[in-house]
Amino acid sequence: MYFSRINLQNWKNFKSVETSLQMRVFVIGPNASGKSNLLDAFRFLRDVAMDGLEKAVDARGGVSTVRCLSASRYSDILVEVDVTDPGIDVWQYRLVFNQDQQRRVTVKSEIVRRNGAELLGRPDAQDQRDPVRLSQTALQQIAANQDFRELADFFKSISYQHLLPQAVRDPRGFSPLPVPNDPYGRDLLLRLWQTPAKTRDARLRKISGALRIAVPQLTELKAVMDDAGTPHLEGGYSHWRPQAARQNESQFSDGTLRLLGLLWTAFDGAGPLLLEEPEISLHPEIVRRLPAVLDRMNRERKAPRQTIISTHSEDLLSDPSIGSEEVLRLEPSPEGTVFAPTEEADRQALLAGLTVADVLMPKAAPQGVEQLALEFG
Amino acid sequence: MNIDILVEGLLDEAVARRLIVYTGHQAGTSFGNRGVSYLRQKAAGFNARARHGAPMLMLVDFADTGLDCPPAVPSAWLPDRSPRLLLRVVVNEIESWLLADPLGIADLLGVSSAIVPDDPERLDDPKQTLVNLARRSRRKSAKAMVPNPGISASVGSGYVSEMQAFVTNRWNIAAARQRASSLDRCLLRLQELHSLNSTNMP
Repeated sequence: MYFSRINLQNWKNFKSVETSLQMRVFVIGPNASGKSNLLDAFRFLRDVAMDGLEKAVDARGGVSTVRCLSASRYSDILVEVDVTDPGIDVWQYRLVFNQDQQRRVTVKSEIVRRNGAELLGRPDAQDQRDPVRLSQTALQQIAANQDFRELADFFKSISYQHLLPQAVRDPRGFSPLPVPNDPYGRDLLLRLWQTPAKTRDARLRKISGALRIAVPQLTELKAVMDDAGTPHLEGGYSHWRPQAARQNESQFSDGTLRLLGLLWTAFDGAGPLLLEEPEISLHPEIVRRLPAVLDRMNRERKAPRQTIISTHSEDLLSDPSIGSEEVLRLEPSPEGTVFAPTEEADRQALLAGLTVADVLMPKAAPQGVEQLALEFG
Repeated sequence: MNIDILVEGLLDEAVARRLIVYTGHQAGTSFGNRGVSYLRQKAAGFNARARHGAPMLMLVDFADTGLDCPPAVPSAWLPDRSPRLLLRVVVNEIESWLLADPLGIADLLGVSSAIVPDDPERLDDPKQTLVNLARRSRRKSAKAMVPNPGISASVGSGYVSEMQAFVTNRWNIAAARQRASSLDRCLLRLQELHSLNSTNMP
């Protein structure tokens, strides 16, 4: 299953946007155009399905923070997606919400369709009799979502990663308790440790192989647990002495940790994979090959996994297999950020052998960037 | 008319923007900025883009092409060139066009205009010439254009931004085209684009 369409209204930077989506999506745009906020719309659906609407909205600072700045003050917020299970089903989930007079989040409308037939349409008669029901979505309730459990499970299967090396090295420095599903990697070692040993070792062997190309002195990765019950990742560092020295994650470089986390996340889980700027800390020659690496890992799976990547990297987008249909270019405007339409000329240039890095990245540059150095004169 | 840009680097981009606006057009997106070999390699693809989209001004420093004469460049690089892709060869380097405004350069560097060479298209290394002129200046901004002793770079750390600012704010194009015929021809071709409409699109 994959997200085949998204429609957002008054969601953060986006006043009103809609687009179809491919199995692979590259989100580009200037700083602060809303790349992370777009990825967050998918994470929001996951959070609603897992923890409920109230928690998902609270975690984002409340309805008024989620609402687009370009929207009028009391506008409803809409998140709507199509989810396609190729050859089987097309699902549609539509959620409209706002807040009531006590600033509590309220469902204004929740609709689920499967192949066009409506399975859920709220508010319904029960909601009218008992308005408190509208503080929860049907999606988050096992008792209410049995007809579309598959869709709820799909939302829950979304994984997101924006690994902060320092959070991996020192998770307690950031929060005293382990954070489940932590996008910043505070639970990376825990997740690694909790994976069945056989699967874990097989994955680590493959990751070691890939890492050895990027970091030749690093050999043989192993998950170990220390006396205090904290999991660690250990690798050998070869040097001039005959015995390789053992090092753990606290001594790995930022680039090593980020690549390791990226590869682990690509193995872990089955749902859509959201990656935030995977190029950070990596050498351009590695970044250049990331689309091919991810594709290769995907083809090893029984069911391929949708990957949605936000990036500023020309190296990443220089992969000649990336088509304009797979690129979502965000363009800020006074009316909120919009998805820039693909021009026929760009399509023709890609067909003639240019890459997205050549023709679409320059268009994603900030307006007036040529003046940047002159600002300080 | 909106005209996109395809150039070797940031200074070339600043020049292209000025020329486009000077001839009454609007500057669109700037592509390239990754050196001459990139332009050579991608020329055909951008040609396809220009054929179906906005016209494009492509500037190439003749000194970087390794070819015998400027007219050889279009036939060697783009035998199938669309009239919507304006491939203009800069003789010999973009700095030649800037040195073609001797009063402006003298004013920028705080040196006498008498020491600015008066046939800039014949200079073998116009960039070096410009840096050497900056070397004779006592101004802080000009000194920043010169590489520090012991640093193996052709220009100083302030070179690109100082020259960009010069191009954007002070460069006298009307004067420069009198001394640089490749610039004059580039401006004429840009002016001709006004009569290019969608009906004669190839």
